[in-house]
Amino acid sequence: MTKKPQKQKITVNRKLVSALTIIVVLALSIAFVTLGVTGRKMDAQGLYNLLPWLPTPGESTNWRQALVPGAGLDDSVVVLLSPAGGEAGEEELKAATRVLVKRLGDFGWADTAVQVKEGKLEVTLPKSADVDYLKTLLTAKGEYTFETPEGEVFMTGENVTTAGFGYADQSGQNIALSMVFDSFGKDAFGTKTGELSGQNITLKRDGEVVVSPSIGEAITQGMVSIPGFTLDSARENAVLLRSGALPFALAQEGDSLPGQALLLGESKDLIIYAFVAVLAILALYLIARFRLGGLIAAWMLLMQLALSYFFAALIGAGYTVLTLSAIYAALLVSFFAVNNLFLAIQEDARQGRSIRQAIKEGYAGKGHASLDVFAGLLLLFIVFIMMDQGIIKMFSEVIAIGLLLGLIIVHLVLRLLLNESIHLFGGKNSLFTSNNSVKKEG
Amino acid sequence: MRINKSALNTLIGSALIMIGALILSLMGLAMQFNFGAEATMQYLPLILAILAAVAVSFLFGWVRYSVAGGITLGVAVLHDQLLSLALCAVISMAFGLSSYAPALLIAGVVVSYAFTVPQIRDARHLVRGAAGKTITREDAAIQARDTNRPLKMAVAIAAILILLAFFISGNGHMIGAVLPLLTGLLSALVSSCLVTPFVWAAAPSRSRSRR
Repeated sequence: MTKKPQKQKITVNRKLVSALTIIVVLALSIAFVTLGVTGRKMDAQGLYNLLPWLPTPGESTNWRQALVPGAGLDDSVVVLLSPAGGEAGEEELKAATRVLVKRLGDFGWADTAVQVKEGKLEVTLPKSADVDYLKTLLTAKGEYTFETPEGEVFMTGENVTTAGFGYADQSGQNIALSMVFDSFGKDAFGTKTGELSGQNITLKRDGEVVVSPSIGEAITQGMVSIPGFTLDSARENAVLLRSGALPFALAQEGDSLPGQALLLGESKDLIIYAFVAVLAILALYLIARFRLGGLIAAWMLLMQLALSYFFAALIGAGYTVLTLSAIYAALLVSFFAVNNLFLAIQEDARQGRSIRQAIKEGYAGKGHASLDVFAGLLLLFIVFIMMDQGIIKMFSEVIAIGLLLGLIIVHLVLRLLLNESIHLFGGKNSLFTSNNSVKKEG
Repeated sequence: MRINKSALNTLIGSALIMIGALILSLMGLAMQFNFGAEATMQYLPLILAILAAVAVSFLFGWVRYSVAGGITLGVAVLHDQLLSLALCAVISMAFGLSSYAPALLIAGVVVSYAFTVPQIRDARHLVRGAAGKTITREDAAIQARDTNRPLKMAVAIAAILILLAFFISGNGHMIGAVLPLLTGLLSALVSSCLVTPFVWAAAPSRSRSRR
């Protein structure tokens, strides 16, 4: 038997590797947070601009372009609308309120308000809202009729149960408005399209022709898709059909006026300071309780927060109570995971186990509980993203990203940094736990 | 499946709050909204989301732990979601809810999981590790609940701090906007202390039949 030649053992300065690892992660963290606060022009001409995305106090910051605030947490614009035909009753105004809120929500503006004030409707929109673009949505009565070439109305928008839009062909310019009818609409549309084969039927909104397609054959399936729309008009008509008609058309009174944030008190910066204070308290608690481990955990929580805001800005989540709730709910799970882990490490260290071993056992034992919480919640919110189309989906998207970040940060990055910090600073119990007394057996 | 009397009383108490909230809502008194947000409130997606949360939680708990784990997690989520909804409906009479209410109600599952999963895991661990010793499932569940108390306290305090940040920076409408987060936290605290340990203890388990 021949003896295998022994490989030459490479000696590595472990402390140096650990120091370098920690320095690199720290430098990346500082660079990322700095970019989050300042943003950066990506080329000399300033054509490509990385916008700042971390909310900071003051008016001069332009993070609001990346994380667009809703009317709840930032200044707003107020539009005053009055019934076009004169005065309206309280009940009619309330009905109009519901239709307008539905239209705005359907259009993606959830952070808005519609209130009845002195016989008029006061609509509060985010400062960034294009009031002129939304004018039809806010003022059109939205009464749809389906008419024969002779002008006979055979069904109305009330017979449309849902409406949508999509590409009609490969060009990307031709958009189709699709509608699904109730049983009356199905019968009426089927009969009339049978009778009017080769002729046109007209879809009118508030007496104006929207589209007048020709009929090839009877359409009896209770649904129709009409091509020939632009994206904006198809979207607008779909939203108006889904919301139902206003009891009356509305007219804008004067220009839109600047308004205050709907949900905030006097200072709109207070919420930013308040959340910084929360983060500081949580960090101080972690450091006081778990010393060096707590400091690294607090650093990681800060990174999760910065990354969560970054991805929230990237998916266009907006700066709203919904987004903040999702980001901080995910952060709460990470705070839970860190505590769960460190309490186990602290207990193991008190039993006389080395810190290195306690961390290993912590991740293998109690750490699995937090892994389960992350995995279970992530699964749940992915299900919500798949099954919901509204506000639950919007929330689930942001929190799912936060949970994924938390999972990676707590179970991979934090673990790596804890191990490297032991290599660098040593595994003294006092470095990782505030309670150093070793429990004696028996 | 015989459940502990105090857990049963808590469940009855929660059910009474839910029935009361339902009656008030049907009378048009409860479930009040600000800024016309009631127009955007769709109950069907919310109910479907709650049912999906219960089903996914049960399956997750079952696959990851056991049938008992699945039942416990499912019951915790169902209890917390319904109690949170009921409390929201009642408290909204003072502070109207916002259009975010359905999503923030669903957010309650975060605390339900954070409070329940470690308890299920520890209780299971205690029963498994007690070979030869006499430890009942109820004792194991109570012990797991008690050992997780510091963790729960830390998380609850952190959640309260986050809610305080919203409250102090906002006006009266802000309280209504984030109310579902507060009721979700309260419901999860109640269930994790008074209900789920005993549900886990009473739920059918393979280890019991083996012994």
